[in-house]
Amino acid sequence: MLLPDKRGYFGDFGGRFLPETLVPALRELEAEYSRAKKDPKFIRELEFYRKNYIGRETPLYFAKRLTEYLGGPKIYLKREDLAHTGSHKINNAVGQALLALRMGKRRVIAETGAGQHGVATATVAAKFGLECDVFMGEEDCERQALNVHRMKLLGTRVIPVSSGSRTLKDALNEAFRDWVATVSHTYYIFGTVAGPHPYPMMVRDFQSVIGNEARKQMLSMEGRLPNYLIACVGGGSNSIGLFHRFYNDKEVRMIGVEAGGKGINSKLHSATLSCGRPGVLHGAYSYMLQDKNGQVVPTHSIAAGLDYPGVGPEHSFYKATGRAEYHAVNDAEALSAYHLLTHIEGIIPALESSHAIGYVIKHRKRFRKGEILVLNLSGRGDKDVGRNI
Amino acid sequence: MSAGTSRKTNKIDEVFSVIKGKRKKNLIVYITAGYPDIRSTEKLVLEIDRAGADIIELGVPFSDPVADGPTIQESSQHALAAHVTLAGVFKLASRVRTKISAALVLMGYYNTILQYGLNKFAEDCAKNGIDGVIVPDLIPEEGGKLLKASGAQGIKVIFFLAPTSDDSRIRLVSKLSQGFIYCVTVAGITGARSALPDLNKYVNRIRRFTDKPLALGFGISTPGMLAKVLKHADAAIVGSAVIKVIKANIKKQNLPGIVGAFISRLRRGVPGERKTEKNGYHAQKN
Repeated sequence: MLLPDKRGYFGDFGGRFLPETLVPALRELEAEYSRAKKDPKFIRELEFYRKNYIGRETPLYFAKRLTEYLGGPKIYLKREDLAHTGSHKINNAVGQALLALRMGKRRVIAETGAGQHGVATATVAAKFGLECDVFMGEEDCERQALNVHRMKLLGTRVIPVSSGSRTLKDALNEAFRDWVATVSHTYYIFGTVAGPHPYPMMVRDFQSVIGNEARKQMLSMEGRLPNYLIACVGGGSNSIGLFHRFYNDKEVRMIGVEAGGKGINSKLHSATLSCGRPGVLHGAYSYMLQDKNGQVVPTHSIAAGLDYPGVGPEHSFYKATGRAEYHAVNDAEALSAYHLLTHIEGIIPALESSHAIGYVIKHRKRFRKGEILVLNLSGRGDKDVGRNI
Repeated sequence: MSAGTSRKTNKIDEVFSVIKGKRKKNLIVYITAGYPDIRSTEKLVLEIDRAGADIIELGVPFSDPVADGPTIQESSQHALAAHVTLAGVFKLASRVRTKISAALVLMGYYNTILQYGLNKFAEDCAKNGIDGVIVPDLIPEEGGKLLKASGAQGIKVIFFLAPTSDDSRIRLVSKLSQGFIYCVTVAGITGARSALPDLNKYVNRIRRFTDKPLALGFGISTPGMLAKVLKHADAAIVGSAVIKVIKANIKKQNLPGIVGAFISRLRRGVPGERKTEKNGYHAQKN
């Protein structure tokens, strides 16, 4: 089964819900992407930058002391934190920048929450000589100040967004509003597996390098597939990137970890799949956090990159079909996982990725001795140092 | 026409009626329901109708209006803070319907309609005298379910065209849009602009594919602009400019009167017969 279908649907989820003005651009992008992915030159270029610029493949690292600490399953960390710019976001940014160049666009825009996608986009813009504007919620600009500084250093204009909740969802709204007016010369480097078709498919494809590598590495290191894949889910790009290649490996179970904030009964969380219901937000039909009238509700997470009321449609499909399970880990649990990994492995994880680690710590009893877990360490935590210790 | 009766002709078709081979030129006015509050909206609708709007577009507020500029965003936020809901907008419609001659159209983002329930939405449109619905984030490819639900109730679904739309999209939208086609004047979001691009070529390009009425919107704010637009199109839509007038006079006792006077001035940009009298169409027709 090849998903999404021609209309951009993963089962019931996905599609294209946005103003007519953007539809021709999305169709053009879809056509260009389908040409590019069959073009040996594009494939070679992507391979080249993955190896020489991003620094792939990233290690699949056996976390010996974390494994001992947990006393049951073997834990492997997929080290996306070691990718250039410090997170998996660069995988997608490079792919889409190459597309932007193919399409002759001179300007790129992006939305960002934690600033990791913003930094990745600013980086490729600098590298390929593209003009770049990044939209970032005011609250996120404050709590991820280091990344704002990095983007500016890279020559990107960071546009603080003061509307709505002043976080990722509002940055997305503003990016769409910009794009609708500039679409003739601007390419929108969308940061996650959400949004209108073809973004969920395209971003997934670019991020699938994570799972492709991890599967190969696991087979060569352990001679078998892992029992579990675990990754945090905000919009869902690092998790889909890990999960996708394993989709048909039915014995491999997948766990997506959402931001439980101050607790999923508190209303102060971003656990979209755990607590939301399907609706239309930012171009796709997917799970979202909304009130009974269909208004998007405010979200909260200590991790700016997870603080989002929507989620990619492929995750909604995984949830609906039972292919993956989704759970929430709250701020405090993520924070203690952040400290633990730092102390016993010498790796400072991003607060986003700390949610995935937090899940394993919290639910260590569900895993048996000898079982193998691959945990996606989607980003490094430098950006978070100093605001939560 | 009283609310709830089965409709042979939709009011939108009346508005765009062709007399002696010429289609009437029309003014469409958008306001956000619940801005500044539902009671005021009710008075505003009556005044805007009296001042000569042919279609009144009632905006249903949404938390994330991606097609809208700051002016309409702010009015939506305001209305949401006052707990305005789609159900509340229907109640408002039922109260004003029999008092106005203009056609009534709802403008709302798809999720608010989807969560209300498409069938219930269409039924409540019919029940409360709504003639059509405009959904800025719904394109024809995704509109099948709404078309089906609305079709059963005689409610028109109006789709958009944009300067970026190519021939294949013009063909598709022309085929599926009902009542009229909402043609966006510029690639961009809603909001008053100081000037408009040349619309002649754009409208002619669309005209090659359809005879359906064309309503141009986005950026139109003065009688002069209206006159320019109506040289090419069958209707002009004014939204943000009206919201701005509301905002500037929000605390004034005679807010409806001020907005009514603004609409009357805009109306001067509409060529042809004036609709000045209250319930003008009914008076003429009966």
